[in-house]
Amino acid sequence: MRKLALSDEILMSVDKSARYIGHEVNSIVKDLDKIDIRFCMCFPDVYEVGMSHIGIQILYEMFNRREDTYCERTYSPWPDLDKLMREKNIPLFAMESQDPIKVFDFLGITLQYEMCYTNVLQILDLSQIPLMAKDRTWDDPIVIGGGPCTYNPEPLADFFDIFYIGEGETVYDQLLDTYKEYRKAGRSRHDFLVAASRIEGLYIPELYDVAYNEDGTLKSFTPREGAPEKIRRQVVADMSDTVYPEKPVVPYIRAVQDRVALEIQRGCIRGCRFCQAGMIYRPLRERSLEFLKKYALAMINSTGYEEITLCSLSSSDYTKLAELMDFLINEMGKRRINISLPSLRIDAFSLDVMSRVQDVRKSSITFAPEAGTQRMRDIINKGLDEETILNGASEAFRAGWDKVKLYFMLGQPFELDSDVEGIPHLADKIAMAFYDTVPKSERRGKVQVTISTSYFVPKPFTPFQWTAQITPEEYLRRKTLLMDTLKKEHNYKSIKYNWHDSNTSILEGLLARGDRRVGKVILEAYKDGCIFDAWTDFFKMDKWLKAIERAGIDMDFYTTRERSTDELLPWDFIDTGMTKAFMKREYDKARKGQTTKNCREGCGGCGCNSWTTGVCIEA
Amino acid sequence: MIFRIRFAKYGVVKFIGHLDVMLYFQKAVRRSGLPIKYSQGFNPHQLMVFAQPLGVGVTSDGEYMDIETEDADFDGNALNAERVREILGAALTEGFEIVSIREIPWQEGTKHPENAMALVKGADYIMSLRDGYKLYPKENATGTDGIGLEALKNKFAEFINKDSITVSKKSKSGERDLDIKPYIYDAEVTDNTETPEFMYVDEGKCLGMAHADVYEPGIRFFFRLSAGSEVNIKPELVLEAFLEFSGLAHDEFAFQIHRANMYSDIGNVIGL
Repeated sequence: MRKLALSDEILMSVDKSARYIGHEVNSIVKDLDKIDIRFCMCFPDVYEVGMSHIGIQILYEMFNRREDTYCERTYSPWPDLDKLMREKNIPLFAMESQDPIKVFDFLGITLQYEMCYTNVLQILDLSQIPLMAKDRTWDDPIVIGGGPCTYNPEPLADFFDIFYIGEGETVYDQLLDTYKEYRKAGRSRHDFLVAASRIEGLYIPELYDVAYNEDGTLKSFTPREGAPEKIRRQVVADMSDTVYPEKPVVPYIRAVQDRVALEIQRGCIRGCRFCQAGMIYRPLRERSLEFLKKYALAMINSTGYEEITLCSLSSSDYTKLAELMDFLINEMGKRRINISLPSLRIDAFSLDVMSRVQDVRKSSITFAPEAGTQRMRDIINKGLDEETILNGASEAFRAGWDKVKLYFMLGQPFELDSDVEGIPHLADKIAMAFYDTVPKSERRGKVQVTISTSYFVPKPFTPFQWTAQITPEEYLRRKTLLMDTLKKEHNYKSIKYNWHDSNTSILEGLLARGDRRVGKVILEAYKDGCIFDAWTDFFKMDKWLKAIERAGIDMDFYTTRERSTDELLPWDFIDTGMTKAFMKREYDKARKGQTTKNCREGCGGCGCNSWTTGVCIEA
Repeated sequence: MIFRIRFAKYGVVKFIGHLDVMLYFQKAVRRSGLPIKYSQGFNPHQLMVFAQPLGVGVTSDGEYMDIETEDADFDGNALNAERVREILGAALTEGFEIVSIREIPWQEGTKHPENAMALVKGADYIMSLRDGYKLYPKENATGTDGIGLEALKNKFAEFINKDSITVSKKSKSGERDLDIKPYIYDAEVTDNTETPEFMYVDEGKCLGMAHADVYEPGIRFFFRLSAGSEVNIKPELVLEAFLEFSGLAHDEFAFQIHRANMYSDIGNVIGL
């Protein structure tokens, strides 16, 4: 019989105990006697969220292909279990072996969003690993971070031994080999970290000294002991000749994304100026049709899922989408597998495909114009005009849809009140298009248009990395302006408005562009009981504000301050391939309302062609 | 074709709730390639019916589900119970195990036979005192070794021979008093060395205890109770009534519950 880390009594006392039992379909079991390296991969949020993440499934497969390595998984215990584990001094454990994390060689934590940072400390704390990297010894695992938040790892610098900058498929083998070599030779932990710093893409925070100017800005960022000045982002050269899971782990309980995920391509050609993902995953690299067909079938057969979804930042830009869809509709239809298609641009082709795979009456059509006026869409380089939106909506209405979702951001740079007012105007035009397109006899009631606005958070490695985030008060003013304008629209009864909370976004702003000093805020907030900040029920702004005060941090300095483009930024030591000159140029063009072509229309000269792959070398 | 599958659920998967168990089997069927039939409509679902939910934490050797399949498998061979067992069994993971399968005779086009869920009238349960727990007099929780088996058997005989056993049963419309005596068909308490005779229902054998964990204290309550849509009596309810009657108490989580089997006819003890 397989063992569990938690007793029956505990498992019967907590909600959804199946989160903690492991042993899922396709999870990997290895003989520990034949293993040199134990790696625990962690998603610092609840199991159902973590199990939905495709990146961990890829790395899980990759590590476990190594005979000398056993990769297991762990997630954040929900607050009910968290409390019991602290009371009873039960260490955090890995799903597969149910062994304590503390005995592992590596603890890899993926950092997908800033609001999980206190959960990182929860993971370390429950694992009984010292929170501060400087306090760790060979008795503790090497704590390594990866994922999009590592493009500014500085707020977490004190808590991690290593950050892996870029795509995980490239240099982990080198790291593990170096680890084995140094352990075998009896070398010190510090010596190992210095050796790791020689591997491209690995950032070891303790090897860098930071100094500040009197005004609080960064003065210098200096490597020691031969660590490199710049850390080069890791990029997979050939997306069709790389690791991908044929047998993803299938949870026993419903995950947030409870389906097979097929990553069709990485990167994006669009160049929206607010979008970090669109900038840090360049260049766009497609996977071959053969690769996708093979893995789609293998994953469906090995998991038993009833749905497959295509993953990418903009699926419509996949050049062989029509062929891929023909294949999927045919093969999945035979097996009664549903196909879900997020991130499609609404046009005749996508509407045709969607009407073949979805129940038109139940589903909704989604547009992400991100801004309400053409002026503003040009500023953010959205590459979507009103005519395209309205034509797409009309075609969708003709095909039978009557629900439309619209996503916008408030507080992007250079936004005027007239741009805010443009949002309900656009929603009204869409509602109008419904009544113009669909004759009364064919309507099943009113059209439902839903506007959602989020509060723009400027992110590192985007042309808006220097810009001031608007204050929460200003966000609320613009939200109210939007609502007041909406009430005056002709079709306001058909339009619903949802808005995002302002507190989490301003904190996200602090954490996204913070420096090393911000680490103290995270530590103070955690010590005061903050975890699961991404969950509204657990988010405690008052505790965060107190933590900011105790840490002696000026929130405005990090959030609402416009930076000079000459300022040394905390993340400047990372070389993503995209040049600072390009980002400055883009910021300047935004100010002037000028657009930049997408990568397929013409190269914008971002610098990522230095990778000589993907869209940069397309014929 | 309709097949009725009896399966066991034990080990770590006992913590998976009923809804997730249904999803687990749906996925397992798809992995296996078993030619299950689907309902009509835009969102077709597999024709699969579970007899009765099993509580989280409860183990079982007596779960049932009905599946409706095409007549031939993916190779074109005619399906039969043995073939279904092979195909589906290969897709199950540790903790889920097929105990037996039988085909339910049915001529397509004629009236659909009653499904497993509609047939359930009774069920057998074992409640075992887990390691580190004891039953003790209510007023003396400390300083006692707990009650011995002989004393317990006498008390239990006294309890079960009462004319009526009234408990307050929670329902949607609040609590109400109910005499559960008529719904307790058999009951016995034993140690680990004996198994009550009424448990030997599978052609003289007792398949219902294959995955019932055995514990140190050696106190096991066996119940045959009314189950299903009309009157469903949980074993905990009977045990609590007994403890109340005999002035005994136990700590939370003291018992591991195991469902041994389910029946369509209690009078003649016919399984599903």
